[in-house]
Amino acid sequence: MATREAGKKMIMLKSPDGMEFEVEEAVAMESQTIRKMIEDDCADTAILIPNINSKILSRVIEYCNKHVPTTGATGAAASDTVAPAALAEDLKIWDAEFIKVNRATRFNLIQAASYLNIKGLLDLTSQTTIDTISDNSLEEIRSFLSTKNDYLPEEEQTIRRENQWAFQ
Amino acid sequence: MDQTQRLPEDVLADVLRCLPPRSLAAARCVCRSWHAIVDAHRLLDRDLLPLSLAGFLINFCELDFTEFFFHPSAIRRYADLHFMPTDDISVEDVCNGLVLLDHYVVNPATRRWASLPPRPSPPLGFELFYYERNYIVFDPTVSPHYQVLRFLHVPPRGRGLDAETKQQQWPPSPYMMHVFSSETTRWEERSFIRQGDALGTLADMLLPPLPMPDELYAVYWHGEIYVHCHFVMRISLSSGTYQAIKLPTDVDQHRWAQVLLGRSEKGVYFATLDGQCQLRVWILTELSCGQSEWLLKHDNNLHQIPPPQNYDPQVHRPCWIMADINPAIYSTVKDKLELNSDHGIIFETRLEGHRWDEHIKILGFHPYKEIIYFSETLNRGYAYHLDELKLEDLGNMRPKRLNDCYNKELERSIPYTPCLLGP
Repeated sequence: MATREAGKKMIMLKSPDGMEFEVEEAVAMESQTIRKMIEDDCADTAILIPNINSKILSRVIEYCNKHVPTTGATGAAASDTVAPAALAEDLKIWDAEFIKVNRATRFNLIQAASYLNIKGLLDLTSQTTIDTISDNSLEEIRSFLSTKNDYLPEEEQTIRRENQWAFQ
Repeated sequence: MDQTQRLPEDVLADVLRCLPPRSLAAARCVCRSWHAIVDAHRLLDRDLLPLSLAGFLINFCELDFTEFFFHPSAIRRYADLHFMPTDDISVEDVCNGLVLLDHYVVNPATRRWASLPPRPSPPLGFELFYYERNYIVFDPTVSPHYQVLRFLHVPPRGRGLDAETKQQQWPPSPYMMHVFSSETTRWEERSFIRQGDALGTLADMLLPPLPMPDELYAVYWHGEIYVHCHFVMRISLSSGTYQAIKLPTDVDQHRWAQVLLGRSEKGVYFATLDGQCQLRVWILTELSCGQSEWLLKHDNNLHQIPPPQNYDPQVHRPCWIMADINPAIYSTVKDKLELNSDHGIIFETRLEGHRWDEHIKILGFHPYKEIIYFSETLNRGYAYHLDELKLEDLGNMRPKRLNDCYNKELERSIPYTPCLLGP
């Protein structure tokens, strides 16, 4: 493989549906959960990532590959030629493309980001949900997120009164 | 299908954690499971935002320190400001959990404080308006910064003002005020442009009596501050404008009534309580034309609502508590008073046909519910629910030291809602 260079430690990630992904240790360590496993020496051969299917895991790896800090031989070359601001701009555009997925995939990504503890990915994937909650009325939030209002009318009134300041 | 049901609870909590407090409170109303998550993960700490009334900070004329009359669930420590580097712990104003002292701003919940730079001399043309009050403006759901507004009231009966000044249209535009911002840490002289008409000449304004300066409060609501002067001045700090709003029409006729501007469930409220115990409450309502109007919400006589009788602390839920911060001077006096403040002794006076005496003092409004608090002869505190016409006995609210005082008057009482956000 082109990315596979001498001196770079590789890690094997396994999804529950049996797929295996070989990734650079630095990329895998974008996940705080995996970083901890590696640091605790629990990752000799392969790490099984439960609950995250191969489709989602491959997207997560794609994200980590893009976001791993560009240091070392290849990275140094990149940051020499490209200004940091332009790099950040490029990442933003890439992120915006990356997150153009359907709602079910987004929720799976949120779940993966939360389990693997990848802050950047969690922020990115939950942003749409957060924006929905921040900018809309209760009815709109419920409709966008297909959440059912299961309060009794009088219950809802009490709860709303408790949180009245949020609606002012 | 509920999309969010696919997220395990702690994942959803992670997502919700990113929300600003205002949206988090809204999220709490979406459905039961969200409500449970917000509460279980303590995403919206009860005292994180100033959402619960802890009690009232009360200044008594002769007591050195502001007292605290508080709900049993509130934390007594909030009242103890002795960590401050000053002996002058007399609260001037409170806004959303932030307390303004003479030269300091302090958050009793976080125990953080900042000192204010010396106040500048009054703006030109306002030198005689020595009748000064400072109001603090703070909204943690909008900004971590606060502002202090130095408001110069017209001197009582226009004392010291010449005839020419008294014929001036009032309030003038621009109205000059000093504003301190915690962002710039400086006082700045700002001019506020009046929107709408003046209310008349200054001489007209001076006709009805104005309460003592300590009884003039300011209310923060929807990004604007409402200052009680001879009228209500609605000031927008962000746009540098203000509007003059007349007080409810018949306030002037009850010359000896207590008046109080406060904030409650639906916004800005105004209450009067006259010598015959007639309690009136108005709500400031916006009209479509940009004007506002006082709507009479409540007009009832407290004599028709006698206090609850035969109060038994064993049966009833706990009373409010007077923090009693001011130390007693003589221990012998203190011992004697402790006996007197026993619940049972006070309640023996609660007989059939009880009449409120005239020493009913309004303490203030509940900031989120339509409840008005008052005290009877500074012995007991009461919560009066405006809608249900229900009276709740809050228990003894007399600081022990008050009995040593010649002047037992209550000067100023301000609702306090703890807030862990912000400074």
